[in-house]
Amino acid sequence: MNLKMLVQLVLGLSLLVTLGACGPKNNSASVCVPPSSNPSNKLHFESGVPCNQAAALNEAVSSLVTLPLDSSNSSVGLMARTMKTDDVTPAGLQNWMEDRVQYIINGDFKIRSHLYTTNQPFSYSEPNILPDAYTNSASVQGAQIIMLNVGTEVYANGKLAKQLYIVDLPGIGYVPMPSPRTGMLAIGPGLFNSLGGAQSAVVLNIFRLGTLFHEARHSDGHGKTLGFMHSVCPPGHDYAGLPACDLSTNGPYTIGAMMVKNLTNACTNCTAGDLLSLRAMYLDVANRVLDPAKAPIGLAPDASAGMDWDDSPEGSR
Amino acid sequence: MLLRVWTGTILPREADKMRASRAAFLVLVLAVLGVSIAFWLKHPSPESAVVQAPTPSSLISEPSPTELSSPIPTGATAPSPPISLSPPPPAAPQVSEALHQQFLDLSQEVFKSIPTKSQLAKLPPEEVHYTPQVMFTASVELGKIAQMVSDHPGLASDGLKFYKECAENEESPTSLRASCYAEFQRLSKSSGVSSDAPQVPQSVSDLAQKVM
Repeated sequence: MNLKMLVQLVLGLSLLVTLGACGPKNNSASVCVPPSSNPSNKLHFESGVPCNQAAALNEAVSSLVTLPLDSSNSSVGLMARTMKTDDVTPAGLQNWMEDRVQYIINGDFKIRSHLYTTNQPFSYSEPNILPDAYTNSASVQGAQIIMLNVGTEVYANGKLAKQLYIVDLPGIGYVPMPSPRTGMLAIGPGLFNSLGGAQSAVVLNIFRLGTLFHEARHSDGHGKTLGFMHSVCPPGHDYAGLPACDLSTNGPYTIGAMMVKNLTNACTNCTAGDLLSLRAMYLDVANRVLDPAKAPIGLAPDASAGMDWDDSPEGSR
Repeated sequence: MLLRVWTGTILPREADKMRASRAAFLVLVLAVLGVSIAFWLKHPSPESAVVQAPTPSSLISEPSPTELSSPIPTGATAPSPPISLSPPPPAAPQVSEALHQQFLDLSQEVFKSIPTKSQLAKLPPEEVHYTPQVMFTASVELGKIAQMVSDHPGLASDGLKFYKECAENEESPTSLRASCYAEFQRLSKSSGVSSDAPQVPQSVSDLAQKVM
């Protein structure tokens, strides 16, 4: 073996190792830089997340800098009050999100086969109080637990089982779940469909940021408001019969809609086409916050319709 | 010279009288001449008037505030329609037949992309957790209409027709109907093109208010 062959072999092995860092589903055409090493945010990607998806999510988070919000704007002020933050700068918003989202896993990841418990005792706060969706689905007319925020789901299941659950994430390691604020999201290809590049990057970034902040809100709440569970949409609604609506006025759909609206308003280089696309996406989400008059009956007083729910998180990270 | 001929044979006293008469005659002639000039200046004949081309600003004279606020006397006939004080919206530029056809083709494609409410109801729950793919696609497609109308203002009338039809389609999701309704209002205002407003239920117009 001469020197040239040796160099080629080393280069080939390096490339394989680099690509392997992003798992078998990597469909990025370029060489993948492990996204968890991105210094611009605190997101950690499980190794099964395709590199192009991780890169797209990182790009969306980075785009916050290009869409600075006007804190004197009333709509931005309302969002800040709803999110209970004084800092609506790009860095401040990113911190808010990263307080609630840290781990990103592939939507196909079989989390049940990666769950562990510990022999050490763990005490949950409000141990016997869970959202109605967990304890009595009939009272919210068949609401289902549909969350891309799998971290909160794992936490709630641990609470039900009175055990601390730990998730083994490939490429990251063991992640204990003592709080929904641990923040673990599963992402699917729907978030990354580019429609053949038919829309501009800014539309995709704002859409993805809306989704991220929506999911981040699912890491909040406690007791009956834990996870800000969705409710079934009433008859006549676009998503009638589906668990795609919010009873609260400060839930995930409100947060996601406010982000899309304010980022759209901040977009100075959006075209007329971009603006209409983003307004339509905003209305799809904003329309999911239910009118109290159309809410189901029999709700817990502290998780009722038409009001801000208590967003204090359970447990501690 | 004439005066000298006359004065050659007349007496001094008579000469004074004659001088006074000539002065009076001169004053009379000048007075008649002055009155004539004044009359001519005040009432020039059409033939002698200088014709000036009207300037743009003189075409629409701005009435004084008192004219605007003066009530019409009882029994008087209402004046003809008042002249608009605001400049008329610029006439929409003509578009070629090819461009018009291109817009109609795009409209068909966009209408096809809009899902029905019954189609949404059949989606799996996990897909509707956030904006589902079909709604994302339809939103992007709607944007193409706005972009084309923005690039070609002559398509404003076609755009309004599209948004009206989109807003009034009862099969379509409320959020997309509201988007079209709001865009109709926006385009109608900015283009100055008049069109019948879409007839929509309150749920659509209420939602549209969030983006208007």
